[in-house]
Amino acid sequence: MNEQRKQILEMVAEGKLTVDEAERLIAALDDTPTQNLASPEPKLKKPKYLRVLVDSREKDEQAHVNVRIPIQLLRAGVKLASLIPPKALDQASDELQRSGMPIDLTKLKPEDIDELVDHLGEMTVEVQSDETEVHVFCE
Amino acid sequence: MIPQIATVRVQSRPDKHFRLWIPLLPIYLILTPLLFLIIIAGVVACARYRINPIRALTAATQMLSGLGGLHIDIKQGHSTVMVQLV
Repeated sequence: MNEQRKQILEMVAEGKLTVDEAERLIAALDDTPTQNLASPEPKLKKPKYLRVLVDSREKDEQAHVNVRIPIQLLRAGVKLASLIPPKALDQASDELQRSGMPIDLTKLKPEDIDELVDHLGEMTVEVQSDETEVHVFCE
Repeated sequence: MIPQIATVRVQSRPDKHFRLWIPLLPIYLILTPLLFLIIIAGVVACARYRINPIRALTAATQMLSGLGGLHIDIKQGHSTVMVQLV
């Protein structure tokens, strides 16, 4: 017996609901599709590589860049970045602010960046112009 | 696992290219004496900037092991450069 049915029966026992009302509620519960019931979220497939593809067609010459970066390398980079002394982070934040990017690097926690890397699998960036095409994704 | 083989392919003309498979283990062995100097310099730098040397060493090791699988391929016209670490 699930929790909702139990609650309905308890309300009937306490006299808060009539038998007819309880019957209608239970019938409504039966009609509820099973997908609405609490079920664990499907596990995300962890990406292994970050791919960067650039295609450029300028006049007669074509250029093509294909880079595959292991996600493990990104994670290690994040760990290395977390070792940067706070004073250096302050300076970098000031420089970013001056360049028009108000990002406070001291507030970025390694756990947050790690979580960001975890969810890279869902990210796809596609930029297209007349002569250049950039595609960034994870696989 | 740290990369074992580096593959380098260079093509300058459609009919002219070469590919090198470089075993990295001998290079690591040759660089071993330098490793001590690098570690000493690293420890001094960590003390200077108040960084935990164990965490720095762990991160550097993970960085090295994360290099396996790196693939860079650049083509422009008839020229190609490809570097792959396995």
